Amino acid sequence: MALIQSEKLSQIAEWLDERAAIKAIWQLLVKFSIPGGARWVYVLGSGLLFTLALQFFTGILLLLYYVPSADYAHVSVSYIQKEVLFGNFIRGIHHYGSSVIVVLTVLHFLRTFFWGAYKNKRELAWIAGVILLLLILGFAFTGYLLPWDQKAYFGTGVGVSLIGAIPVLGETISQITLGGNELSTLTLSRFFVIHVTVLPVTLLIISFLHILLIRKAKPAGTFKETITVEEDYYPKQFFKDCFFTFFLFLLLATLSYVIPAPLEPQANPADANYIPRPEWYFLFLFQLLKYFQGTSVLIPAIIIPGLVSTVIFLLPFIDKKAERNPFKRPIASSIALVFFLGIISLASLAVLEDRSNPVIKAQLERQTEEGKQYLKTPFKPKNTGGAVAKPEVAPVPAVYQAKCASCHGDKAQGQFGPKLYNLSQKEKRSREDIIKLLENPQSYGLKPTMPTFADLSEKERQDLADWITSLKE
Amino acid sequence: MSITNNTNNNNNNDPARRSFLGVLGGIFLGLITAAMGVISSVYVSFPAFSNKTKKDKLWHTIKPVDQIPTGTSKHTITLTKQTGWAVSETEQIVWIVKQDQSVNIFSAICPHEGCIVNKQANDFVCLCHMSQWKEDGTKVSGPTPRDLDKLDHRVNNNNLEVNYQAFKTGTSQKIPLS
Repeated sequence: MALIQSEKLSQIAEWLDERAAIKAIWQLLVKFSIPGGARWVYVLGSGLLFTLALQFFTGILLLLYYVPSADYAHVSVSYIQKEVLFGNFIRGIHHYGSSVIVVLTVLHFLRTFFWGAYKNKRELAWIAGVILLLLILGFAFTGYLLPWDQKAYFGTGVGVSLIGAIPVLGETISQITLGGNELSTLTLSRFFVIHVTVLPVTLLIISFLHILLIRKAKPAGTFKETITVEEDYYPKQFFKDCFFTFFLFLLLATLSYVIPAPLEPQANPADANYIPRPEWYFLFLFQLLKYFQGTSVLIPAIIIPGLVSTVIFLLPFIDKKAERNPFKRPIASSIALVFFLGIISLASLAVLEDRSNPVIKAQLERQTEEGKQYLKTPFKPKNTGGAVAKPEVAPVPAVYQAKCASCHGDKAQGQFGPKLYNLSQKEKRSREDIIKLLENPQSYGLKPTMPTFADLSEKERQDLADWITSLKE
Repeated sequence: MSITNNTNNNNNNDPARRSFLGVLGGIFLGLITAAMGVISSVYVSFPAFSNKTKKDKLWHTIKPVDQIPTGTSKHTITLTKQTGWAVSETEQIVWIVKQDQSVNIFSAICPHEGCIVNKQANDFVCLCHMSQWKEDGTKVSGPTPRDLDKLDHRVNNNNLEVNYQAFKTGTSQKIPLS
């Protein structure tokens, strides 16, 4: 039986091969040799390829429900997170996937550097790799805004304001980025389009080039001078790559399941207390900013990142010696090590300083707690009005301006007293209830801070109730 | 640099071991694909089977009975629906036919393919595929599989109220859509 089956399978394979050259394609994909043989340390590139593919996949799934508009972005993410089956899982994988990609990219970068794998006709592969690193940071920055929650709004605000530090053109570039003078629904559209079209297409092309260039130059393999073993990619390295990929998947699945991706309440630009903090991988830059004052913000925001990127870009042309062993390149290795440790120290300092300042510590903890509470509250759909044209909001009655506006705000938006929108949806707040409530608020359980308006005429109270019940958002 | 081919290492050239490692790697990739396949299928099809969609109120007030004109008149009903994350309002048309003491209310959705049924002379006509019904809703001609869909109505506090429902199109039976 099994024999017949395997014969059938090989017949199908034969049939396909005659028409689609599957054997040749397979050979092309896995038939190349690695000097020094398969190693666990080489799994990082494949791990990145897998995690990026997973980001594409989960990203497409998120697009199924996400709405890129300041009005509905947050409620649609909340819907994915709280209502859709496996929605929190898919969003979790996408959220933690971005962090895993940054970690893998940095490790892959360090591995390539210390192994000297950018040498010997691999300059272009290295440059493609650096472009990929920048693209990944671009993904992280633009994706951060999309949920339109508190940290997205305030965090991105700080990020964009740094663009303004660029001399002469800074202001213009920042306005073009925002689509105006402030973070708005237009900004969200711009970031969305960059995040889901411009960056993915560019990433696909550059990734393809990166792999093509490495295959052309052949894998660098070990940095040892005498190579005793030369192994094919398949099956040993293939197995290691698959195993690591599986590990990454389990890691992401567990994280998404155990700690749901955070989602804070919807962005509220009027919240003066909110302290934005960037994602952990941008903390070093955030810390660096603290050491420069006024216009010198140019140094940490533009000059240092610009210089470092340029040096990294040109590394294969600066360091042209053939020596690959990191222990025989003490200067290069030490610079890289100091640089890497510097980034980690800056990020750690950022965390430590936040923890040692009681005011900031308390506020950050409050924000985290608010986010957790928000995730626990049941999902609330949003009224979109829909196809039916709504009557215009009635003009504010004069009696409201005279008696109520000082506490509830001149448009009933809430000030000292609560806002008066959507009252009719609440219990015991019908038009008739409101007329009676104005006469005796305490009988409706309101605090004495809400005064009695028994002195108003019946007509005035009716007008107020009519107007207040018409207020919807 | 000297490269010697690794012929001493038996493991490496043993075909059984080669295919074992390859298959094991393939199993890992297959498990991920299977897991993501199941999860994404559920995620994608969720709203189609979710019963969390908030049901609209059953009875919609039209107007006081004595204000309904004799003969055929058109009325628009506003439905509030929760679909996914959004609560929105849509409008649906019903035809009210009042004769002497009897009132009939018909859905304006054509039972054939769901176009909007209009009034023409004394008959109802769907201009999409030229189905035709009498004023009492019975089928005259055209591809429609059944009579116009009659809606339940009642009089409450002297107001005419209708229980608005949508029905499956293309069937000879009148099957309500939940």
